[in-house]
Amino acid sequence: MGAEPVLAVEGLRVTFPAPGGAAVRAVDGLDLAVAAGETVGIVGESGSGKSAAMLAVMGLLPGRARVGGSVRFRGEELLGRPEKELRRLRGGKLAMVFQDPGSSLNPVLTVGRQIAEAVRAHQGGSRGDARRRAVELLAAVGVPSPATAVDRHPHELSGGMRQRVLIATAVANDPEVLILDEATTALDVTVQAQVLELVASIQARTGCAVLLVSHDLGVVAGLADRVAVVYAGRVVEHGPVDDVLGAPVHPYTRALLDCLPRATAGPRVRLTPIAGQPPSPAALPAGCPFHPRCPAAVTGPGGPCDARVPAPVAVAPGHEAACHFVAPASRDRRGAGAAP
Amino acid sequence: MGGAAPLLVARDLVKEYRRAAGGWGGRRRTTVHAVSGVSFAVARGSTLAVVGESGCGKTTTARMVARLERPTAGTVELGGVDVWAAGGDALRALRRRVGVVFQDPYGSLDPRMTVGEIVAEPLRVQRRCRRGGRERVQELLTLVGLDAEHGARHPHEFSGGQRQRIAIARALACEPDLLVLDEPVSALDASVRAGVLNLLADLRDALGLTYLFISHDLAVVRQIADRVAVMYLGRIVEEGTVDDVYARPAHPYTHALLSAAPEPDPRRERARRRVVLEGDVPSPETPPPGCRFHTRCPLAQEVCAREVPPLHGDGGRRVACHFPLEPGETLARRADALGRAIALGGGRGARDGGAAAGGTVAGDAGPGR
Repeated sequence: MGAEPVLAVEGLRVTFPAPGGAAVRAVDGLDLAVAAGETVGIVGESGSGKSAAMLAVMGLLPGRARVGGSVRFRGEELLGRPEKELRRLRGGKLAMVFQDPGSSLNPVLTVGRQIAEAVRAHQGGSRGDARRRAVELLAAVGVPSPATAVDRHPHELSGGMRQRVLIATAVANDPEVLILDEATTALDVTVQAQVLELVASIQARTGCAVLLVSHDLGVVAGLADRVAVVYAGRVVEHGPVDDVLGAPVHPYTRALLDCLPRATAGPRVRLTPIAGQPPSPAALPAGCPFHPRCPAAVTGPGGPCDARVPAPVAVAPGHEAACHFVAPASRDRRGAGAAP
Repeated sequence: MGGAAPLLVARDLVKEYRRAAGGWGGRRRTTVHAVSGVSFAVARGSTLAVVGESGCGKTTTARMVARLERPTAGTVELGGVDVWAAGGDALRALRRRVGVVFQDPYGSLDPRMTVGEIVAEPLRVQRRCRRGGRERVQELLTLVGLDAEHGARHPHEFSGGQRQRIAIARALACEPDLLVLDEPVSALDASVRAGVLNLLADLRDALGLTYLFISHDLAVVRQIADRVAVMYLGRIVEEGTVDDVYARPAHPYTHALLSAAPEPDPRRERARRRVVLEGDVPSPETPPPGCRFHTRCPLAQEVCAREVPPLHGDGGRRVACHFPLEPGETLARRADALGRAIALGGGRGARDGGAAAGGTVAGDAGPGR
């Protein structure tokens, strides 16, 4: 993307101290950038570190977590900023929606109070104004009869409606970056479709940058402009969505696509599972973190895979993969490309 | 369903829960209509998937088949024996013939038992230890792709996928004819899920098993099942072979459900016109009269609110709709013909193009109304 990124994450590391002095490396040098109006999908399996990375961006990790690297919002470093300044950004210019709409809302407050709280924390104003704004926001996210819904408690709403309330809270202060962390995972597919449409329409209207964290490649395929595939705390492949999901080059991305059953397209073929388990962040393998499961790994004397961490290689404009056996881009490699 | 008698037959299954409403000690009672007249048959050696969204009654149906939940009405027959009327030796024999695998491999295995004890428990309960307890356990663990020596370990030493394999081994211990699988791969990551799905297919073919497979995931269903029954709010709305139903959905709900299932193919996703259903699934405490889908159906007519559409058709394909779609007809085209607006979405393509007919995609108030 040519545009200056709104949010740029470089070499992000998150480690948690573990008993016995060892460290759990949840995020291990993650790079990521998102521009205004752009949607970047972040995909990976459980434990890959994608959520920990987003919490680090928001400054929401517990105090015992050690965070390193750089997170810049509009060119300004966020890591190490005082909590007071971060609090002004969070829920304001940087907003996040979490997976579980059941536990993200306070059960004893009406949803209107909770949205109004976000409005007043950042914009001030009277309770009445904030309440009117809450009704507007509920209407904007498609909650039916917003004037009555505003006085409801979370348990009176369905999962899909609660997720809309959380999105309303997140967009209350016109964020420039909206992070959705598995925000539709707990929802049924027809409701997920509604919420994804809502996100797309909010982005079309406000031009915010969206980080869409999901384990579901299908969700990302439909909404993202670019995709980053995360494995063991680092990005192993990223690029335009058509390249990464349509012509993946990293063995992990390929393997991930090969093990997915398809609902509508293509023949029914036997699935190819990936051997073994994702590595534990407490005991990351040496070299390429994927090498113990990689069908193409060359290890042992002379083999690079268990010796060195592969550096990202550009295979096409804006498309990079971190694998020892990926060839750099040559002029004639692709014709009609997926240049954004 | 072919010539042979089906192994499993469910007839007019109904499950209603009575519960107190209006707070603690409330006098008012309401009825939750979890399952409202579900019938199906599963041929020996085949897999019927029951698919639907939360609260549609698919799990309750599975539990009635597995004899974990007594139906309010209706019958379940396994090999011609009425599961809920059987008692004594007949019941003991029946229990041996049905194995169950649950969704959560963390909750369904006792953390204090060794894997060997877990897998051997059904054998012990069924007093079939004479088939060499320890040997049989090792055989079962090998069968599901685990190490025979893992029997001495505890569940916490295993990953989610391995735990689900342990649960499958336990379900197979008494050599059942039928496995009731309730969302068996939903809690697993994609790379691990593929292995468990392959294992289930292999076991079915090798042991001649019959599966009742409950799932919310249309892709998983397409991978494992021969036939599929789509449930909505306690009723089957459509049933047929997976290939037929997926290629030519006749019920508007099936069509919407299939169109909402995301695929990891960006070009396809953008080209796709997804039907975005309005609103939420109504409460099973107050299901709508007539066709239960009519409140959200873009094709609903006046009769739909009045008369319950029967599940029509022979064994090949059954549909419960007053106005089923013709083969190849899309919901959008039919809605167009009726002069109805229908919310259509898609990925970026729809947004960039911005011109989905009648769509609310590029609108500024979101898809809700």
